Amino acid sequence: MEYKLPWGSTHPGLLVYLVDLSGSMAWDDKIKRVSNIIWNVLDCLIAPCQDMGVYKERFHLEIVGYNQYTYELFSGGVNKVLDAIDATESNQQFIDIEKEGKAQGLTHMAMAYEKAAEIIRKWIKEQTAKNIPIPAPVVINITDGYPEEVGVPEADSRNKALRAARELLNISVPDGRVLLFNIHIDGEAGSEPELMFPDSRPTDNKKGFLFDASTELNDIFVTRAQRAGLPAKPNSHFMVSNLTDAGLLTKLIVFGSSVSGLTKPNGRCEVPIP
Amino acid sequence: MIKLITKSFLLGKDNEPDGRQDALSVNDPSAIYAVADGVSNSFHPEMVARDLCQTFTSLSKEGEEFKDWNSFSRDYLLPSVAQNWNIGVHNYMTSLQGRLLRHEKFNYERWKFGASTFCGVTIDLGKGILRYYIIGDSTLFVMEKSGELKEYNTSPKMESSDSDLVTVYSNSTCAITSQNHIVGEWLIGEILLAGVKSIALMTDGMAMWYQKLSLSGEDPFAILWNIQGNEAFRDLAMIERTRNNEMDDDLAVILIKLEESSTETRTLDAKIIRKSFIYPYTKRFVKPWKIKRKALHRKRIRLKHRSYKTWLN
Repeated sequence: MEYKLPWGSTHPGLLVYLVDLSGSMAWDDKIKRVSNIIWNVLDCLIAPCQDMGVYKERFHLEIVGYNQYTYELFSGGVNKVLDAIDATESNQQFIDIEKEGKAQGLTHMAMAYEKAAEIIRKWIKEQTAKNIPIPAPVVINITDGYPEEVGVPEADSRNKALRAARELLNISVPDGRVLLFNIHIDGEAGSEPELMFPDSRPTDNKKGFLFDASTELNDIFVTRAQRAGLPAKPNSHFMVSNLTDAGLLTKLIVFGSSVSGLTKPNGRCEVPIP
Repeated sequence: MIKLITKSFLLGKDNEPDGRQDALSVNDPSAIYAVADGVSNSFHPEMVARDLCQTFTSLSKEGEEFKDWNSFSRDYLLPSVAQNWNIGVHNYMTSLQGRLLRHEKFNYERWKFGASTFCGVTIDLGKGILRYYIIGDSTLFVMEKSGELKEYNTSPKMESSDSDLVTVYSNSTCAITSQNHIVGEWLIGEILLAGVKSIALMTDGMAMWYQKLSLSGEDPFAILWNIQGNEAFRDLAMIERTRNNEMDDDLAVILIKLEESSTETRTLDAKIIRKSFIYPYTKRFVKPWKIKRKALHRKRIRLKHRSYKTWLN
């Protein structure tokens, strides 16, 4: 059955964050807010990895920044995340936005998806060689825009990104296909209505792209989303558009990161809450 | 006359010798045994699991508790578990600082309670009865002399290919919580020992493996019984985890073999020989056992040669 293998120290999960570093992310301190949110999200995600005072290597994290290039912003397991969190506790910024995390350029989203696919294929190869079961990898794309490449018409950029997203979505392990969640943030509250977990393809091309490039939630994920207070329905795709609230962004990233695998630390013995 | 021979193993998911969230307790002199499995989606469930095992095996077998278990559970056990968990958590949290305190606060706010399954048995050799008290998917396996294996727990059952009812081990279980509350109901019953060959209590990580081997015609009791030492048990667990994706959990198991005793002296009527390992939970019971052993040793000299050999074996 799909998405049943929990993240554990004997079979860690793989979590990939794709962070838009295009020039518009520098506006209104969006990248700074995203970096701070990622810090808080990771602090929250590693809390259940702690077991009797020892932090278990339950997942591996890759953070890839992208504009017209891709940047490896972070790569490591739980203890490396811990070290990074400790080192940045004073400012709670997980990404160094003055250096490799500096926002500039365009949004080559296809390249980001291709990079994620490369990371995942490498991970699968490594884990398979060690005979380690592989939970379905999770990819979360945080962007304030849509695919945009130099000298390429908008529609072609979108199609290219969609092809790359579909190729990413087609990567599978016995536990299931890659889960791809697209979160679009907007710097200006109220400029466009929020769209969360649509169950049918939006007519707008850009939002339609995000819908097509996102995983469709299965029934269990829909239930978990609803329990988390998120407006998912059957056939919902994990995409959010025009998000402005930082708290909600945090909640979505935590949900997306933990919906499969980290929900039950050892995957066993869940008491039904009356 | 029936004699009991016991053996037990405890191992955490990452080979922790204390069993991590699993617990067990062995009271050989009183023939009371218990295993418990802390529920993962709760906060510090190992406190509940250990408390349950210790409380159960420290009860007096002749006490009223076992006669009306549901009332005892409601009026004493659940409130006691709740109180002890709250005290334990408070003491634990006040010992923390910095990042660990921050993370444990996250975890506490997320779960707010501890929970555990439980499987306990009392064996009355005089009356030839075993009584069981079970909640959740910790399981009692009883192998009868006829060769029939029975499973006892409160998890759902399904028909196997041989039309036997077998447990469906899933992610959901009944349990005792630290909120003075029980999810599900106790499974309480008794079994006549006359037809029983062996008994095994275990948490679900072991039980899934045990059931699988039993259904395929193998003898998991014998496999476990032949293991000598904790290291050998750990080796078995590591092999099963890496090769067969089994035992991928905390593991607690108590094996009890029933044998007919050939002696008729009173001290050997209820002869209990313990082949187990010193665990924190059973230290308190070592002393009385040692005292009894000294008494047996003095009497051993007076036994016939054949009986002495039986005692040694």
